[in-house]
Amino acid sequence: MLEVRGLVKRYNRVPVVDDVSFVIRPGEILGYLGPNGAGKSTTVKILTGLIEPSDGGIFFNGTDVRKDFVAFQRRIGYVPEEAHVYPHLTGSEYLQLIGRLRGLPRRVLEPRMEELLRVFSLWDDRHSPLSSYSKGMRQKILLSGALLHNPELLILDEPFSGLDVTTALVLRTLLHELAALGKMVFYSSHVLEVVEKVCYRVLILRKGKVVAHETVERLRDLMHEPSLENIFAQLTEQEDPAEKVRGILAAMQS
Amino acid sequence: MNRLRTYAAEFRAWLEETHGAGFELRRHFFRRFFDSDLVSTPGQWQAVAIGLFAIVVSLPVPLLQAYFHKYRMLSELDSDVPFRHAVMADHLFLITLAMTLTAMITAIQWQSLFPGLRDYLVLAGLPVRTQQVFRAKFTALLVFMGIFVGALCVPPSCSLPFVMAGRYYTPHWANSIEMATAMAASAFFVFFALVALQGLLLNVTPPRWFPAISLLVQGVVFTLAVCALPLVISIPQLDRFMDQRPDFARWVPPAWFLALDQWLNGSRERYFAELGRIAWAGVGIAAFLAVVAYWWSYRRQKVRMLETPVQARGDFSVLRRALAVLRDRLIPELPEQAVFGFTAATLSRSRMHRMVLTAFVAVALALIAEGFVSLFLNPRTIAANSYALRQAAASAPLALSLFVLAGYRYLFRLPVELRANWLFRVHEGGNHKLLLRGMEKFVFWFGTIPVGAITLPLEVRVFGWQTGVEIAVLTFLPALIVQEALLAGFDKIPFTSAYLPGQRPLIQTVTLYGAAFGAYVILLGGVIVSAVRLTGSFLLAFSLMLAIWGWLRWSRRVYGDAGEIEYEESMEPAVQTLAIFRD
Repeated sequence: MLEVRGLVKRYNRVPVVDDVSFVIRPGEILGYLGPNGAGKSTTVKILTGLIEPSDGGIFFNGTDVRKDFVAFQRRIGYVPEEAHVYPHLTGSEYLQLIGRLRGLPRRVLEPRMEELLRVFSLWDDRHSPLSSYSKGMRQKILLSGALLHNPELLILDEPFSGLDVTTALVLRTLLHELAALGKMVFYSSHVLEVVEKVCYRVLILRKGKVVAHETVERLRDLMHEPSLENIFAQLTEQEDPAEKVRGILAAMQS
Repeated sequence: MNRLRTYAAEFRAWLEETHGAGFELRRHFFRRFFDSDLVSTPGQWQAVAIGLFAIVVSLPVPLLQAYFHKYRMLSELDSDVPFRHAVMADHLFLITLAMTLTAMITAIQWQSLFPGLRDYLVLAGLPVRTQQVFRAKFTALLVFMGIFVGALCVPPSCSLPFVMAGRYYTPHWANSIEMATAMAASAFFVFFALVALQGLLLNVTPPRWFPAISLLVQGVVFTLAVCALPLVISIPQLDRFMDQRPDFARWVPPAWFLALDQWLNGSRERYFAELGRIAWAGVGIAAFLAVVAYWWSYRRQKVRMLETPVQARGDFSVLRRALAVLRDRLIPELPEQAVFGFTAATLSRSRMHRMVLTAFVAVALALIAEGFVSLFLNPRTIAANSYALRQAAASAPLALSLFVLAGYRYLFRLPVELRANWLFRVHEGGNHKLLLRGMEKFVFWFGTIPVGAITLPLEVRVFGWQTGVEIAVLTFLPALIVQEALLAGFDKIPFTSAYLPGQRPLIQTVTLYGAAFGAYVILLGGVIVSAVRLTGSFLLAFSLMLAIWGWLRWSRRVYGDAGEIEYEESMEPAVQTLAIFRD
């Protein structure tokens, strides 16, 4: 079980993540939502160890991860929001690098790599540099890297970005299957339709603070709204889109 | 003063204003000559560029004092012949220096000589024609080189004639202009010739082969230019040959421009007139070919760049498997293998990193060549087994190891796709010692070992089998010591850390390398040559070096563990403290 308690991150004393708490139990997929600048990516960076929190704690199976963050990192798989990869490496070299960093012996690593490359239809391009990959192909290679070591917790930041319809369907089904196998999934996204279909529970952030943390069904009941999109718009106090459009048109014509 | 400020403010305002597409493209291309993918910190590269400019402009300063005394002495002689010969040799030196440095800077800017794939992609969709892009690139390139050539030629041309002033020479401003013209013509000849060469490669080589061939040519040009420097510096010693008028000079471009210089300075010798005409024709033809290369490329290059599919790397399954077996034996730990493989893949594919390593190797080769060239210029010392020859041979592996290992340390600091370092940060997994050992093993297998292996035949050839092997052993141990010293405190995975250039002034870096070269290569080379004369002294030197290496290695293992890998480079403090702390 992943438990985040009172997580705070301040930049120049300004909190960008402010007292965020949530729990992901085995078999759960948590949708982590919020408009741009709400603090989603900062939370992901804290969870993966890229930055340190200013306050609060992260507990994995009841143990504070700060005691042995490395042990925690060994159990997570991570897909970053932007596909930052080493462009000169080939697809297979990239997976090999991740596998070795994860300590997967060759006899385990190579068949898994081969399998994942074939399943994600990257086999023919395995010796091409990542610089020549399309956005979707890069996303697939990032996903392969995150799944390579069979992690207990998946941290996914916009994993559907750039994926074609078929792969997106495969991934959506895969997430359900992983949850059924008892894996935990932290799923950060803007795409509300996908979140609605994939996640059991959602957490909505606004300016770093949690404004909702419920199951999708309960949120619908509470807010008397049929869709997650409307709930999201209400909770995050989104500006009137029509007014925004009028502003854009006025700026274009000024 | 106020009017000047007003003009300056108006000029700044004019620069900030939007101008036509051509001007904006030129401005864009000109700025990109100073750009680098390495850093995102604004202002850092300006510091480096200013340092470089200051070095180029101040190049004649150390020459002036030496020349002043030299020409005072020559003016005291009864005959003006030695004076005239010295003047010619020094003019030849400055012309050749201008050509060599221009070749170096053109080689450094090799990738920016023509619009590249990134230019096409960035400018795609904008209302600019390909022809405009090419014209703007060419003119921006000319302005950039014009500034460089001006900084290179004007200071020595203006100062040298006045330093030479004396009984046999009355300086005039016209002399400065004539000398600057000859130097600038020689520099532009080299520049245009190299642009034409790159244009030819761009259009003639198959698109798939172009990157590799172009990189090879770039490396060769740069290495030749660096290796030529010791020869160039020895040109003033050739004054005794300046009364000769050899026929082969028609094939030696520096001689053309020396003749042009003499002809512009009033000499009416037919020989100079003829070679001077060749010099003008050379510049004209090179410029014409460069323009033709641009015109030709503009019609073809865009299509070739945008429509050539990226080539997949070869599978080489058998070779891969064989290497994997070898790797598993030599580097059994997986995190070590990860860094080793990543470093090898990056270095074999990153053009910029390979160029940096080439530069370090070229400097080492130039210094090695200088040792042998000075021997050949002085036939008395070339006698076999002479001390100087033996010292030059023993110094070769030391110079190569110093620059290759220092080169690795420097280029490991240069990031490749900095934002992708999340991969190592997330997957570090408490293996930081093993990850750093992967880097260390790479330096050992691709730095220390090859240097020893490559130079072993030279040592055996010069010293014979037994002494040659002894020399190889005594030069290998210092390489191991240098490796330990350079890697101490270097807690970075190669190519993954942010880089802040210009932390140390360029002149300080050059001085440091000069001091290291003097102590490590020249002094130690002499000690090693002396040590192999007696078995006892060989064993003493061997034991001492082994002990130093062992102590350094032990200290690094015990005290050098920083506990974490660095991904950010921080600025050195402006004021250094003595670091005296109370426990």
